[in-house]
Amino acid sequence: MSEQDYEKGHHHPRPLSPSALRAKAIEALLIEKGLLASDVIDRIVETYEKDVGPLNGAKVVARAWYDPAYKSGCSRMGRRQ
Amino acid sequence: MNGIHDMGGMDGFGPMRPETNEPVFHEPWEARVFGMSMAGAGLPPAPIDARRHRIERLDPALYMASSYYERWLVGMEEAIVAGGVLSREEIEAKINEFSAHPDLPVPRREDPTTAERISALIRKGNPVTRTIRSRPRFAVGDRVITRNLNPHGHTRLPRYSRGKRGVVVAYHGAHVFPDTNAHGLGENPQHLYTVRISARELWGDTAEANESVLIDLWESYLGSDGGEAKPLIRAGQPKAKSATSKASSRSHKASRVRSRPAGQKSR
Repeated sequence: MSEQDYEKGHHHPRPLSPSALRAKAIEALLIEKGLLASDVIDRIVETYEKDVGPLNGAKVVARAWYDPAYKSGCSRMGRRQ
Repeated sequence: MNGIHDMGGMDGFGPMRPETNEPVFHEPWEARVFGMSMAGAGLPPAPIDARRHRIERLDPALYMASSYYERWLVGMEEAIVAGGVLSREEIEAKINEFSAHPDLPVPRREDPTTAERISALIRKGNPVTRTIRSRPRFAVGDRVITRNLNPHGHTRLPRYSRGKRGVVVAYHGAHVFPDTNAHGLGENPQHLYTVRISARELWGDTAEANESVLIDLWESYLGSDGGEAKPLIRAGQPKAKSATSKASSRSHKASRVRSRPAGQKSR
């Protein structure tokens, strides 16, 4: 996600919600002052959308239900922690 | 704190409607608020306990009227203003500018090194487990009673679970103690347990007999309730071995109510 998402307003004249507007203002100010970088936000968002999150755990549990070898592997890794 | 966020056991919010294939973020601005908050938004990144407490302290009426990420946004703005990063006036002026000129884009600034470092940090995780010298006071199978604690600050002991009897079902090692870490008062790691509390202990005799709630609780939230539990505790059974006179009298009262003939309502 990037600032382009905010620019959907170009083609859809729906005004931003008060929260969207407030978030846009804060992001713009932090970037103008050099306190935050756009790609740092992009990467955090991308990581949580694609790589980490509760769905990974759900998939591990579901696979452990039908794959005994995988399940025992999980148990061993858990104990090593 | 006994705040509006601690809603466990409340009714009247309408049905739960799980969303199929729910996206991580419903609106682009939610993703930006999440990313900014996680990156510290111009402040040193705050621990999760402090970020949670920020949200707990929101005005209760505002809290109730806000969506999940609206609470993040307000919490972040409060911290930014309190920390002197941005002033309220600057934020309002920028909002007015974007309102008047909706086509103005958010400026971009790139910092690939930091982006890569943060991404790696997130993937690696930030464990809150610690090594401490003291031995755990409880073992799996021990009966415990939660303390009736009402701190003004952050706590992970929900209101509905205070003063209740349960059984330790798992031990997780020592973890950072949120009640102090949220306030910058140190990590003070403590042993952490999963405690099973029966639905009837929590919600009374009309609760389902075979249901229970599992809650992760720090050691200082817990007192002993008479040693090791029997392998299977039937919910609603009067517990003979009570550690305190208070718990004991409550147990007697509960069994008296239960012993009324069927169909007779207790008053």
